[in-house]
Amino acid sequence: MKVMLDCIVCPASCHIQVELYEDGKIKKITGNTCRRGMDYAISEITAPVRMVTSTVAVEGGNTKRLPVVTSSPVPKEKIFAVMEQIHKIMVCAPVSVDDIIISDVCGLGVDVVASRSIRERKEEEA
Amino acid sequence: MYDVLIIGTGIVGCFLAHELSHYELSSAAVDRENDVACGATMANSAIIHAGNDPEDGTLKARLNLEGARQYEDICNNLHVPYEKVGSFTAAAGEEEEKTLFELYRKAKERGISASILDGAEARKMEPLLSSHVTKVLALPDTAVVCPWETAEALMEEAVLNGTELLLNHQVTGIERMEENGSRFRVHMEIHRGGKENGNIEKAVVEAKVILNAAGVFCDDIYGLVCPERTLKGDSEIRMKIGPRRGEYFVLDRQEKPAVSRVLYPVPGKTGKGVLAVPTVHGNVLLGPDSRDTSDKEGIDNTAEGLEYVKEQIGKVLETVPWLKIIRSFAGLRAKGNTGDFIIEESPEVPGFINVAGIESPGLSSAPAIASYVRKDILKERMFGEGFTWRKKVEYQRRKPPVIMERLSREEKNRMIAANPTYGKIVCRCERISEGEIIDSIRKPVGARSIKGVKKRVRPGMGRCQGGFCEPEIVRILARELGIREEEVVYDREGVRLFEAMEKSLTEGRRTDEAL
Amino acid sequence: MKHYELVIAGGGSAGMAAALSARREGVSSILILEQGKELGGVLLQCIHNGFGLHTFGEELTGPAYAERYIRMVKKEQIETKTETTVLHIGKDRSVTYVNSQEGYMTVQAGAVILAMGCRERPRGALSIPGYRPAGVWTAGAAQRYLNLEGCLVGRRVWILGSGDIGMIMARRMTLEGAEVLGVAEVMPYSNGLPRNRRQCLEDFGIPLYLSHTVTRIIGKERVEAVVISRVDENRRPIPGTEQEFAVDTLLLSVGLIPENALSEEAGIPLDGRTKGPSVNSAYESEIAGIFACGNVLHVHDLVDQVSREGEQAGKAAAAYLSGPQAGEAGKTMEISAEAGEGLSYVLPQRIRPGDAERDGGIEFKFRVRRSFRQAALEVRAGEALIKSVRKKYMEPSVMETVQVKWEELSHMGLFRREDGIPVLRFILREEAGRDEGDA
Repeated sequence: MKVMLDCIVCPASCHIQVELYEDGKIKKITGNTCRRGMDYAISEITAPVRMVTSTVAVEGGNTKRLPVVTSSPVPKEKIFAVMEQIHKIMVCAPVSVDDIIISDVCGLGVDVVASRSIRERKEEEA
Repeated sequence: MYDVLIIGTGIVGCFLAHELSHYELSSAAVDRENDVACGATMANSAIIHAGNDPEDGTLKARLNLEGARQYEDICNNLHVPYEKVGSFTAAAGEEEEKTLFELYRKAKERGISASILDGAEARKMEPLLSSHVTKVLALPDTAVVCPWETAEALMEEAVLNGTELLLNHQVTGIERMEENGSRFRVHMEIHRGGKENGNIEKAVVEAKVILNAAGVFCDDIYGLVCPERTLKGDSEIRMKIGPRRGEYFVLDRQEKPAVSRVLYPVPGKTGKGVLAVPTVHGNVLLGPDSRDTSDKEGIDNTAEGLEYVKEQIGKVLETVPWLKIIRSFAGLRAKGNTGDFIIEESPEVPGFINVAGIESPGLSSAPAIASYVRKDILKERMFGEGFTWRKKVEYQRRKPPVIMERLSREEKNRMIAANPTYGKIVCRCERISEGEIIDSIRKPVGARSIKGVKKRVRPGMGRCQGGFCEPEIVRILARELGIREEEVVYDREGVRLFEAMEKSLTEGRRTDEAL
Repeated sequence: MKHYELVIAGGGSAGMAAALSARREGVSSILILEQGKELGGVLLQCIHNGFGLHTFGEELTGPAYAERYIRMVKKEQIETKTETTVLHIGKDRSVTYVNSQEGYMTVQAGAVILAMGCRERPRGALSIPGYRPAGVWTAGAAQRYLNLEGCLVGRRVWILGSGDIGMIMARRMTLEGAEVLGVAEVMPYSNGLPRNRRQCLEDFGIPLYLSHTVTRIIGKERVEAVVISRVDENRRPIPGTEQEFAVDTLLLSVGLIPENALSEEAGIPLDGRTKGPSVNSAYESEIAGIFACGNVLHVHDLVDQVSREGEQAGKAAAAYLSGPQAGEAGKTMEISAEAGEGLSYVLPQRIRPGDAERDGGIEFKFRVRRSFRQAALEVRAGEALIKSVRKKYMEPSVMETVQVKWEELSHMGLFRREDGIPVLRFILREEAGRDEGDA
């Protein structure tokens, strides 16, 4: 059996073909142009993972929302569990990019980190 | 108790309120919407026709001619735009030329400046004029205005001079009260926060005289007090307003607009045909079509209507820059069933005055309609013993709004130094500053919705149609009105703009099982 | 009047990259004018990841990518004015702007770089029948509301157009609790990157209806439903194929248009195909000393490409400021580039021999008109074939590039021709090849 995958590792979006044995094991991978594409194809067939990005509320900052991102991809089926944790969070300014907002989210060994810095709001910005 | 209650605050209601506000009497104007000028006034061709078109002997002919002559002064006094752009009525071929000469004759008879030009000559002045056009009737006095800005400015001045404006008030019943000197008791529902949300309060006001200027709803309002809806003269005819839809395209404003004057085709049976109109703000309107509808709120665009406009505009335009379309809209003309405006006291209900069936040339006629109603229809006896028309000694004029684009560099910088919000551009398409938006909310008859801001100072009218500036306008409206951002409405009360804000984001989420 | 060597209109990814590269080339007085509260442009609301693989060798979110550039701009002490709107650019390179502190101000620039980005096509441009209720937004406006304001514009959503922002918003709104019922795309192919189709739609089971469009919006005050129809090969709705979906929101992702109101007003000639200024191989518009880069020039797919283009424009502006170049004399002997069969545009539109010689060639950017498999891109001058490049896949949603070397241009003697400006034509030929097909 052949499976066609559009690689999502980078925006080049290579068209990868994965040939499978009857039992679902991988026989051959073609169409990728880098090693990461190969890894993606394997993980996509065996255990797909995704980065999760969202925002959390900020108190006292120069913006209302802090964008956050997982430090590495999480299993696809855990996306909404991670979102549930993200939704519980509110942070106070200042925040620095890469500050850990939730460590080891859902016990996945992955952190949720700030993806920008936010400074404290000045009086005149209120 | 009011001497006069005006129902409806379109251009006609606003002119009536403005006219009456000059005299010593008490008046109020009611509208079911949260703003003035929400019906036909918001969606029409925006032209002040010179007045050669209506049939002889009609109110339309008389009031159009009178109204058109008053507009320039009125707009100047109100500090709202008025542009005497002129017009060409375009004829192709002998048949149409005959009609054109007939129009020319009528224009001359009525004292309207007019001339006939050759097609080629006209194309030198209007390069996009269709190559099929053989002759044009040039009317230099045709003008364009901004109908809703005019209406709002009129009402603002009326309010400054004592008129009470009751928005979000829908008239639900009118009782006749012969005793006590008061003739009418008007029942209303107040729709703050929206009818659907159950926020209905009730209100009652009393008035000696009612002016029914409710546009397409005039027959329904009249029916509340006179179920037969009797008209003067022919008792067989009952007032019926049949809304007639017109659809339009709007072209983006350009350095040099596609047309510089109004281009009419030779008029047909159902109206003036599909026109090209340069607006006072530099856009071009293409339209309208003309189709009867039964839905008095049927301002939806239809594929057929827009297609018809595209097809028919070819009568006046050689090519159309279709890529410059930024919007389409539709409006409803309040078409009466007598063939003329219906402006009269009800023969059955003394003191109830219909100002109905104000279809084209309604905008052009509106100032003259107001003076006609005051002078010829309203009688001193209607207001009781001893009433005479007395003009107010002091009349408060409207303050000219700050329009940054129109000021000199020095004036602009003086304004910004005094108030830095005039230096912060919120709408990059139309270049509207935060200060101008704040003004539009704070002034008398101020904006209460995103659309209200858009009507007054135009952010969101440009090529991005609000894509960039809307969040900023929501923030300013919330701050100025002292409400939460999620309470800001786009247009009508009670219609939420957003589904959820900030903390409520977490409600109703999906869980992993859904994957 | 205050004078700057370089004024950059727009402080997004293109503007910041241009400023930094001009500074590297020794331009000392640079001014960036930015409309927003802070630098970064649209990146600040693009909170998803996938940015920076080429520029930084790692995948960042939009705000993180912007922050790296903002830091560099600060470190270089490049003068920046935020909440400042550029109002006018003159052919004489005067720039008029307004802000709350200075009011209306005009400065004189030695060179100007246009980096105003792009805007979304609004609903009005589509003339979809129906009322004009609340609940219709462009995808980018909904993105701004959600990611910057924290407000969800709807609970049940339909999306028209399969552009990247639309697909990314489908995922974003799903994660935040909305239900996205589907995406309609009028073309027979998706208009966004394949990876977004995968991870934004397929991951969440959101159906993509190709060759479909919204033919009616139902609802007077708030959107209540949309009607979608299948379209024929001429993109006309086929009667009888209507399907109604009850939704409260319609998002539009129907194309981006370079934001050129200022350029048009300045009298800078635009290319009808890219909708951006027509530029030469130094990213210079037809007005001397006015350059353009990023989405104001042509709409890009990836921020890395935008940054790179910004760098090139910044470098070229610096060269312009430092006086006549070796290639400058060749200005009268330009080659023009033209998109032929199968291509929707090619850029730059004009090549100066000096640039081509100095850089060892020219990188042309282009987009294809439809999906191609096994196609050859040919670069021709008249009948002569200058170059042919084969590609396995090409899609309209992906900007392609082709490098034409100096030798390839010069050995044809193109720059010595005297019978008018030589034209390079870029043509796509589909090759009859083995179609691997979907298994």
